[in-house]
Order: sequence, then structure tokens, then C-alpha cells
Amino acid sequence: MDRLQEGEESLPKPSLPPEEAAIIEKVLGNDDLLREVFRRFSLPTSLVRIACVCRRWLRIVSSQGFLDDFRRLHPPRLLGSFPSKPQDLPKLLPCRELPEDLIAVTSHAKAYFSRVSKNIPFGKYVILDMRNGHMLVAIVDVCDRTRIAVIVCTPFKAAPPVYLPFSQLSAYRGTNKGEFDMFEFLPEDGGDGRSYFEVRVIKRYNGDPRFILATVGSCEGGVRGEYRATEPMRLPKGWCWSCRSTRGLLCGNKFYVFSNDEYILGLDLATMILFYIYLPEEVEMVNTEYDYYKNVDLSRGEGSNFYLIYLKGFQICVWLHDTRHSDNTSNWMLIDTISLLQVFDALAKHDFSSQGCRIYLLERSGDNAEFVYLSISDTIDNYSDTDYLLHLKTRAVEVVSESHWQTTSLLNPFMMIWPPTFPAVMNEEDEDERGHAGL
Amino acid sequence: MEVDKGKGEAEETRKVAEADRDTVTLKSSDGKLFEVSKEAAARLSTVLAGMIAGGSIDDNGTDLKQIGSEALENVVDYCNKHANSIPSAALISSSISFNTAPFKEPEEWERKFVDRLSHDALFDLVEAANFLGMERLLDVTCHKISEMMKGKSPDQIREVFNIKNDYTKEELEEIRQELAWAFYDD
Repeated sequence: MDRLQEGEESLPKPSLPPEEAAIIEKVLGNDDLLREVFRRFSLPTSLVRIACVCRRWLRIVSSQGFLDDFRRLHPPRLLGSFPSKPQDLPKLLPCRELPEDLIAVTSHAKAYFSRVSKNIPFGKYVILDMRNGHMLVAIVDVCDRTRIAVIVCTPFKAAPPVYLPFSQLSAYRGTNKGEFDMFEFLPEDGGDGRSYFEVRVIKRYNGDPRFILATVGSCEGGVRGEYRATEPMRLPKGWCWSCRSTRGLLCGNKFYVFSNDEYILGLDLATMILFYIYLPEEVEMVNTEYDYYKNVDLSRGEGSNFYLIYLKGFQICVWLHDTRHSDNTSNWMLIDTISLLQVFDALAKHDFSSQGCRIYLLERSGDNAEFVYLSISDTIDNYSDTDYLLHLKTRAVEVVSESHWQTTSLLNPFMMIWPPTFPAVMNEEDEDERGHAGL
Repeated sequence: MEVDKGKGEAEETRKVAEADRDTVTLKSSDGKLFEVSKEAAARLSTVLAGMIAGGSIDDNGTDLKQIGSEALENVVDYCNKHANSIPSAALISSSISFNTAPFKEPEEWERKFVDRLSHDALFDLVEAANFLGMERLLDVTCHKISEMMKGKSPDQIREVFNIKNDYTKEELEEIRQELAWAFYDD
């Protein structure tokens, strides 16, 4: 791949014979045809470079209509994964076989973290959430795990991390004596880099294990907002804090979290109303001595719809919860079933036939149930754990990491940023004057 | 593209006669005649399909005044090749994308077909494909042009496609800084 060299303000070079120049101009001078050409790029990196050619090209690639079309054709790709365990520095495990352009993007992200780490107070990084190029991180004390800072890192940008206000109370589960569960997450589109939400589910309201209520605190534009609270709600079954999800899922202004083995707790952030959704009858959350409900996960869908990923034996089932059906029959729809025996056939590494391995789902499945993370532990041979990335649509599998005696419970998908934020270098005047100056 | 459908009933008999032929004759702007499979023409070009259905095909050569003989020859060549090619099973299964397949990648023969074209001929063919409403040919030719741009620096693109840089040095620097992730580190 050629390096980019921005030249001086170069004059048009009459290098082409006039007839050829005229034919090219006829095609590339036509906005519709130029758009047809640009749609065929598969990566946003190409769009950015194309935008540097001339103002007219920038105008075309930065128009909302074109960007929407491009996104639909080429959804943002997964670049790699960040394990969530407390680390000295967020560690990116890049996807295998990325195109060269995206390898360059991941190197930018790695360089970003080695740069920012020099200015961060001493402590460990705990990734709380990642959305569209923004990473919400708690810096915790190495010894007592209390919080030192909450920051938003933006590995796609050169700007240093932004420090945001936080409550010390939220330190970690251990300190709140099980009185509430706390979830912190970024706005769905990643936000402005200075905003996040904090949802607390308060258990045993008034001492009754059946009653809960939720509070929502938000930090917007770097400023902490008022706390809002829901009315208490009586649950059909007691809230179970050790339940599967450490993260919950924000999806179209609604927040969902597994609350016990029968239902999912929902919170409408706009109306501050709590509700619950029963799991499909077929779904059985498994709680063994080794793992708490590590056979289910949630994934964002369109609008407030979401997916339930369910691992049973050697099978993964994908259920869609469609909120548009509001009749009291089931909103669940089984949309896909994947046999792991077939998927992992090529790997032929694990002995699925015996009790020699355990499989579980790792948290943070991709949006729209595009991919899931699976962990397979070899319990007989050498007690090794291998984390896999499984693309549900294509059934393609790749290894994310391998470790001994060290389990990961959560991997944060690192997605390509979208859309590229083009600087406004062109004003109205330019547009009139130089609408076709590109040619 | 508007197609004249308001033909009188007198045309009917001629249409029937035409329907018996399995080729149509096309005439370029410079008067050259080309024969192409009717089935392929109707399948690949919405405009030709409309003309065939509307009976506005001329046995002595349907005038396509906007298309030169070189481009029309390529159009006809493409149609005939397409008529003979069997979509490969490998292609269908390899068009992998996480969501819906955005574009069907050009097939091997389509790739070869556009690769042998000169710049002039390629751009001419884009125009002709656009004029004739040939979606697939437009796909393949635009794909080729995008390949020509891929991996090139903005300077190189301007040179190859004869485009004037109307940015100031500062503006380009601003884009580069704001979107540094899209560029390779020096």
C-alpha cells in the first residue's frame, strides 16, 4: 500500500490527453456515477482518503444520504477485543486476517493507549463500556480497588482522555453489601465523549426481597445530572444479584438485564418505568458449581428490539425479542440455531465427545447477534481456556486468546467507528463558487 | 428512461415477427451495426428490455445515438459473454458478508473483461451502461474504477483522474488530523 503524501497545492497536471480527460470528466463529473464508484469501497478508510482529493468529493462522501447508504452496504467491522479484567493498560487483541487498512487502524489504537498511559494516575484500568470509538474506563486502586477516576478514552482520536465526575459509592460490588447492583454505560451512539449513564437496581426495598426500584444518574457533557428514581416494583421472584450479567444492555432508550433465571428486567430510561420480560419457555439458565448462568447473553437489535443468545449443550439458539408485538402472547422468535459440533469441526482440537471440556458464553455479544464470544475449557488435559469469536451469520470461528488457569468473563468488542467525522472545511460560499472545481 | 409504449395496433404484427428472432440489432452513433442475443439484452438492460417489450426495436438497427461503436461493441460483447456464463457455485458461497451481501463480487470473467479495457474504454463503458440501465455492468465497471482508486494517495488519484486540488494545505492538514486513523503512520 502506498503511503499518503499530501503535496503542496498542486496545479492541475495536463498529463492526460484531452480526449481521455474529457471522457473521465463525463463520468466522474456526474455526481450519481461518482457515488456509484464510492459505494464500492468496502472500508471507511477509503472514504476518508477519497475526501482528501477535492471539495466536491468530500461533499459527496460526507452527505448523510451517502453515509447511510454506505453503512447499510458495509456495516462497521469488528477490529478486535479488549478483555475486561483489570489491567495496567487496555490490551487490544486484534481480529485475525484484517485488511491492511484496518490493521493500521488497530495500530493507531494501540499507540493511543501507550501514549495516554503516561499521563494516567497509577492504577488499573477496568473497562466499563465501549461504544462507537468511545471507551468508558474506571481507574481503580491496585490494592483496595476503590476508584481513582472515571475517564472516556477515544482511541480513534488524538485527544487525551476526558475525566468525568463519578460517585465513590459505586466502587465495586463488594462495598455495597449487596444492597444494589450498579451498571454504567455509554449512550448508544457512543455519545460526545463526556457522557455516561449509571443505573442502580436497589434490592430489598423496605426490607422486602420481592421489591426493587431503580435509580438513574447521568453525566452529560461532563456535568453530573439529577438522580431520577422509579416507583418500587414487586417482582414475581426475588432479584438475584449473582445473576449472569455484569453489564446489562442499553438498547433504544431501554435498559435490560438478566435478573434471575426466569425473566429479564427492563427499565425505560425515558419514562422511568420498570418492567420484566419472561424468557422463552425453552430457555433454561444454568447455574453450576463452576459458572453462574454462563449460557445466556443479550445483544442489541434495531430500535428497542434485542436478541437472546442461548447456549445449550453444543447448540446456540438465537431468539429475537420484538417489542412491536405488544399482545400478551410471546414476543420471542427463534431465528437461528447453530451446531457447535459443525462449527468447530475444522478446529478438531477439543474433545467434545467426553466430559473433558466445558463451554460457556462470554459477555458482550456483537450488536444484531452478529457474533458471540465463547470460552472452551479443557478440564482433563491441561486446564487451558481458549476464547473464540464466532460469527453467527457466517459460522466463521477464530481464536481470540488462549490462557492457562486464567478465565476471562467479558470481552469488549472494539468496532470500527462510524460515521467518519469530516471537518467542515467547506462553507456555503465555497459550494456555490466551486461546486465543480473538482474537475 | 422513458419508453414509447403508445404504439398503434398496426405495430402488433411486426412485433410478432420480431419476437421470432432471437437477436436484436443495435446501431452505434457512428453507424456501425451490432447483433446481440435478445434474451441477454432484455435481461441485462432495463432500457433494451423496455424497447423490446414496447416494440421499438428496428430490424435494420436500433439507433443508440449516445453510444459510440467502441463502447457498444463492449456492451454487446459483455451481453454475449454473460449469456454464455454459468454463475459459479463458488462465487455464490464466497460472497460472505456479516449482513446482507452488499455487492456480488465480479466473477472471474467479468474481472478479465474490464481489466483488458483502456481507461478511455472503461469510462466510455460506464456511460453506456448507465444510459442503457445495465445495473450489473455498471456494478462491474464502477467496481473497477474504485479498485483503481484504492490504495492510492490523494495526490496519485488526482494525477490519474485529472482532478484539480482545490484545498489549501491547512485544510488538508485538518482532515488528516481529525481522521488520523484512516492514514498510515509515517
